[in-house]
Amino acid sequence: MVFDRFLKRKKLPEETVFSEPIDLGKMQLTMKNVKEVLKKSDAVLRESVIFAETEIPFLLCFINELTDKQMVSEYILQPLLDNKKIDQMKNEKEVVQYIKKGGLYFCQQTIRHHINDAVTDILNGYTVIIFDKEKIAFSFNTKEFARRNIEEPSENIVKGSKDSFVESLKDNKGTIRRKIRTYNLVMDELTIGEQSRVPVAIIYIDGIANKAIVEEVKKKIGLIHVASSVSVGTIQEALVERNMSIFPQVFTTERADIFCADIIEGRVGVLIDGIPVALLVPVTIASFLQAPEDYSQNYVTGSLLRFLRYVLMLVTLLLPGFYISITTFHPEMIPTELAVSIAASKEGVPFPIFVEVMLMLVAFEILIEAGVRLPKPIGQAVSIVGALVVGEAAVNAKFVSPGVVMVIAITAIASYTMPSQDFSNALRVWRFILALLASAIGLFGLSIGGILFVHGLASIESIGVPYLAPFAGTKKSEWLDTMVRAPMKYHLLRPLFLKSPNTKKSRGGQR
Amino acid sequence: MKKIIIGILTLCVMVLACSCAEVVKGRREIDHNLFIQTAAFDKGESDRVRVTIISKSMHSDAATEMSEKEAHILTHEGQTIFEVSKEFDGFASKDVFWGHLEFVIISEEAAKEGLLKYIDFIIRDHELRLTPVVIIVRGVTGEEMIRKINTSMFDVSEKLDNIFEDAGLLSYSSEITLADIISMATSEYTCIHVPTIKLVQKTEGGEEDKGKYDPYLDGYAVFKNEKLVGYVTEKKARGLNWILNKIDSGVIVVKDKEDQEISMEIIDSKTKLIPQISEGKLSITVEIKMSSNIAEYEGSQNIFTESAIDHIKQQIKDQIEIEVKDAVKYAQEKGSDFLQFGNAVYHKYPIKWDAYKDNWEEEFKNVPVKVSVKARVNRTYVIKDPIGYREK
Repeated sequence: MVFDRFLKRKKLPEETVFSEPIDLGKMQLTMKNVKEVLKKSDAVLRESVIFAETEIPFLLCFINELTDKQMVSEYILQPLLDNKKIDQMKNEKEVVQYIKKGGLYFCQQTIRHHINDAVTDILNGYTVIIFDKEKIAFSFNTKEFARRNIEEPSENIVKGSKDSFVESLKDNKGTIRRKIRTYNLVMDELTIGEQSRVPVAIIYIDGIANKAIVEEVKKKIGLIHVASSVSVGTIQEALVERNMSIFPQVFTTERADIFCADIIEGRVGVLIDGIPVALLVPVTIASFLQAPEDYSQNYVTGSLLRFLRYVLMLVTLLLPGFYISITTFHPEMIPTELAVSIAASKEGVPFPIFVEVMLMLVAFEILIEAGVRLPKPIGQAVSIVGALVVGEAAVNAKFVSPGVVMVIAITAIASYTMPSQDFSNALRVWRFILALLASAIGLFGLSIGGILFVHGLASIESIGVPYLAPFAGTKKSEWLDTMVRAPMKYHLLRPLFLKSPNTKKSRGGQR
Repeated sequence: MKKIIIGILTLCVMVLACSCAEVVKGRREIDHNLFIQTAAFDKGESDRVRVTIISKSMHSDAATEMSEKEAHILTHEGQTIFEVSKEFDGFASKDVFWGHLEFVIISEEAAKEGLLKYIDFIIRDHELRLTPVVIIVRGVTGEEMIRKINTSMFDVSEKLDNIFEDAGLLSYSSEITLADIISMATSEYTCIHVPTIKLVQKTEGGEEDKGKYDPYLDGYAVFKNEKLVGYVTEKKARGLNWILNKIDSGVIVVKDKEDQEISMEIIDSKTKLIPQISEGKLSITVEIKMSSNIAEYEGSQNIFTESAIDHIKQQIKDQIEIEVKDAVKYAQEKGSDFLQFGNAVYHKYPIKWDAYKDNWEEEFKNVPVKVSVKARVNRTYVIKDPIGYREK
């Protein structure tokens, strides 16, 4: 048969023999069991004995790559083996008591009674010693692994702190502690991921963050069951209430100063070990249109720039659709001279303006995607080629008219002014929808699209807070930090929609 | 999920449909439009209308990357303007688009027959707005005017645009849009007046523009019962503008005591029409307050003295009074209340107006009109005394 070679394809043999999964819950904390559990891993399992009056065996385990070995030998092994007091002890019980009371020179030690905890500690980079008879383990924090220094964030800013989050959760917590020095700052840790067992910290200020929000976040993160590795998306989607919406409902940042400012406002933050990005909930649409720079500039400049950003949001959203509608449905809206020159420049271009706009929008998306994926030096080359080919040659070759090129260029540049990439991506999708509607029934369609857009926004809730919350309110204080940035002395209250138990933010400046 | 699929399908149908044949009405690519800025309506043969349209278009030359302006003039006759407008599409290379219409030119002959039948189409059609300016052309037909004015450098609408923009400098005429005409025509107390132009040969163009004319906006055509009855031009037209409070600026030439000429520039004016009924007799006072500057002086006296300025003021008053009286006299002769006296009377005496309403045409002819002018001379611009002035 012709198809035989397709049918005779080699198949992956179905695995029938599984290695028995180990149930840690029922095991006892003994040296043998720990060895059994960790035998397939790269853990160092060293059996040794303490030379007391009797020889007391113990097991020293750690993972080579995660541990500072000098620390292990100098601060754990040496005081354990080369110790006159221990030498005189009679049995294991006495030794264990001695270590419990802090006989070793180590500042951070924990007692473990369950094998589960002990194994988790080993995998997290702790050094664990296990005593068989007493069924007890001591874990010592000897974590030491290669990590990145705190560097400048990619979210650029001129005035303001230049530290960003890094991969290490420990470092990130330290960064936050340095910025919020209150005893009310809570950093609850949870572990998620069945295989990866990633520590996740939920950060908030007790007494400022609304308890209900904190509980909700904890509940949602606790419910995460992922087999794959934990990414920002995992947490983000767990926190989101309407999964079908394309608008970002979790604020992500790698800047520690933004994170801390939002925590102080009463939001709840989530940090994931190994990911240099922090998440913040609840958010409103205004968060995505604020730039950190707004606060370090004069309030007039800051307000004007912020207002400009709102205008540009509408431009990048509506301009392609608007251009399609006025040129194909409502030419009376264009000033005569302009109408005549648009018509003249379009002469010889065979496609309707709608097709031209769509072509250019798609070309623009391709350029972005190509530029993002490629390494930096090549990425620039792509954008130059793209700009030349799309801008210049396409017009000369009469593929598109110059008016459309300009409209798309303005749209693209306006979309770059959005401080949040996630929000900008959502606008990208809506831009297409609006252009489609406009091409079908003109400004009428654009209006319908606009209504749908606002409806979409209005139906989102982020952990119980309406997405459009600051704009729905009638209180003056809610508007002071949305489309404008009022002088600091008027920022007296925390955002009301966060329902913080402590709404007063500051006593106001000197008056 | 089902809803989403239905939504996507609907959107697809909408998009695909709009790319095919004319499923969606009103959809037309911009380069298929012939943008009309000026249209002329004339009387055709045997009760037909003759419509001339001129459109501007740019022709881009790919080789030189230069774009040239081109004007297309189309003329066609038919029973009604609407019919003609549809018939244009039968032979024009592009679709006629009326939305950009700025000027409607109506010939003298057609206007004598009645103005409203020519502008009904422009008012009624949804593609058009109420912003076009209606102009009556004297001496020639609309078609001739378009062909005579249009040059390769400036087309008709550009020239007309410019003269209407500058109409306030002389205040002989003003821009009267379709909306204004509608309000004048629907009011039972007033008659219509619209700007009028005549052709003059003042500018000399290049070789190809030989024999071309310029439009000169010099006054108003006045109507009675929507039929053209005459014209007020230049100073007489300024009289009308004084009465209707439409003076922007202008020049009044007066003389000093030694008969040397002084140009006074009107910089500000405000007029009140005050009707009065005393002892059953109606009279109207036109109260004008104006101020002016000395813009030019041909002599070499010190004219910035009290007596000299009083002398100037008196002459200004006299001249304005003559202008206003001339306009009133003309209106009363023709029996056409384009000065909107009836309007003023109605608004001041809405009940007593009933007595005048039916016979207003006759009453109007005999209404005594008083003119009171308050003139001011403000300043002399950069120099106070003429350069030749020597103090004795």
